[in-house]
Amino acid sequence: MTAPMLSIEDLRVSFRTDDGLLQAVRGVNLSVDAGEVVSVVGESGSGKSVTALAVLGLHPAQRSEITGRINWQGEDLLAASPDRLRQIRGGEIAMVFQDPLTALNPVHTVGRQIIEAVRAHRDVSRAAAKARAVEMLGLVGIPQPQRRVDMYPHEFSGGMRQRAMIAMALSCDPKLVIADEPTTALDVTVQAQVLELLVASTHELGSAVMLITHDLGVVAGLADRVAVMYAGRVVETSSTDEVFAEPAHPYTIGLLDSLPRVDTDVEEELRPIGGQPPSMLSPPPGCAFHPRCPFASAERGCMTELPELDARPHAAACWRRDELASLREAVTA
Amino acid sequence: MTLLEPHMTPSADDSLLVAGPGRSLAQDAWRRFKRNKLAMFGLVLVVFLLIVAIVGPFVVQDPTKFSKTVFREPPTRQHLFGVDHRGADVLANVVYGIRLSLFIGILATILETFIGIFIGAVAGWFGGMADTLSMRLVDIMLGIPYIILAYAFITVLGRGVLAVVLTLALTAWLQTARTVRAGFLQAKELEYVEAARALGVKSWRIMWRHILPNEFQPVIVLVAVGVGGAILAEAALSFLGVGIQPPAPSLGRMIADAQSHFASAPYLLLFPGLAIVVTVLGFLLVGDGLRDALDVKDV
Repeated sequence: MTAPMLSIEDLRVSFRTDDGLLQAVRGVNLSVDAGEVVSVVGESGSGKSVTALAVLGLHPAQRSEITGRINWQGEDLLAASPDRLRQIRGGEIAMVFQDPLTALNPVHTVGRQIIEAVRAHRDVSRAAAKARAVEMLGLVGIPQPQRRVDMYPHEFSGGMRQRAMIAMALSCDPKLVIADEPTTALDVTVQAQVLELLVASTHELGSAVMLITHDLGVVAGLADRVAVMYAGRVVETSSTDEVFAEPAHPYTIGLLDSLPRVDTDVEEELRPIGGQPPSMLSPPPGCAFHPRCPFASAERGCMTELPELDARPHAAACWRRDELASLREAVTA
Repeated sequence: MTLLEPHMTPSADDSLLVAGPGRSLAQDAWRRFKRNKLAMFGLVLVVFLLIVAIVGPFVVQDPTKFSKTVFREPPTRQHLFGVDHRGADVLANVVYGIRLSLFIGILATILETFIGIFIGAVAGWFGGMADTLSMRLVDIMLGIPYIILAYAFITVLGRGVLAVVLTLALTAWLQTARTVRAGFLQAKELEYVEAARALGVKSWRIMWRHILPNEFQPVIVLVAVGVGGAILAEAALSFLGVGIQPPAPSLGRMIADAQSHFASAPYLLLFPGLAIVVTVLGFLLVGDGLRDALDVKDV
């Protein structure tokens, strides 16, 4: 097996705050292969976005402590020079942000912003960059791209703005696109459309996607692989099909149970996960999920020892993983 | 944000949505400015003064030509503003004084604005030591009464028009720097700045091309108000005798000279004084109008 394009090893990110050290990410292992769609799922505060921003080196150095390794095609990004990082950002790894309204600069036309991205990485003329901008806007399905390219963000609708952001991210042929909840700020009617477009257009260009979301439903049809994050760690990761068919972590089970499904009975109620995500200023000892876990057991060490992500292809970090199937039956029975 | 049109709602198919020509922010602001009577009055004053400054010298007499026979004469048809104690035409001196005042005020404000933007942007964007040092300097300079500060600067810089311009510029950038810094502090946390960084845009470019245009509105207001302030400060320095030196005409010095003749020739004080008031008032009203038209709250 060749080494993955991006592999994150034991990434830890902490922020110094007035209340103490906030451990946002506590030892994340994650990899993305070329052309693959990997989804990172978790609640707010589980460290998804922090992991993504760390890959691009966008955390302010004064306030954060970052350790571990981020291997990008054999290069450690955490040790990369600022100049090298700037080349990688946009050029090799691009990012699509959550809210296209605030991520586009209101004083510049959409075209000018794409041209800027192109010219930050390629030594091309303004006219060539503009042609590229028009081409990309066309690729993401914006009608009349020649006219639209000279319009301002406020003249675009929400869905079109996010398409423009995707066009901008793809404009330099990045090998990886990190999309941080790209549809959260959008109207529900266009969410699916934009997501499909994101995956289809990256596929056309051969780019890999790291899709960050809190919505497992979003993941189902689009991602090749899923990594579920909880309290700053990856608690389960495998192919999308396996995670949906045989979830191997109580948190994933909880997430799936809280989703409405086509095959559930109308009478049946959705089961939310009880409790609150833990404070990352003082995460609970042992498995961070134990205060909310219906299966937590002191004898198994859930309260005292941190379970590692086991080495199986379908990896999960749970002390009672092998008993989960029978435990679940006991609960539902 | 006033830039956003509320009727723009997301829709699945935008091909039907044909955007009209739209009104730019500048057009919007001009429309609001026009409705403001006081601001328009200020603008009329400013335009009038600019015309006086440009055309005036072709109309009035030579301000340095002294009459050998007429001294301290009240306004007549020949000398509309009277003749001063030296035998010079007051109208000519006032016109040339306005001309020089505007020149100094505008030039000093342009310089001051560049200094303020640069220091404020660097302090706000880079933070840390650059921020602490420059903002403490601002605090210290703001702690000294303005006229004493300006007096100290001009004592070092010497005399003449250039020294006055530099003094005004070097003492007036404080407010601009503070305002620009505040704007940068806010803007650097915004997503479009992070998005630009994530696309590999250089810091320097983000500062000037992305943040500055978004934070420029309060600076425009400060420029208009600043010209008025600079003209007033120049008059004050010249009044104190450290500003514009003879033979260059100065409204401030005319007032100083007229003081001793106030009882017998009040018109010598009246006309240059009125010129200063009208000039400063014009710029302040325009500044106020711009503040409302651009919807700037924090200046």
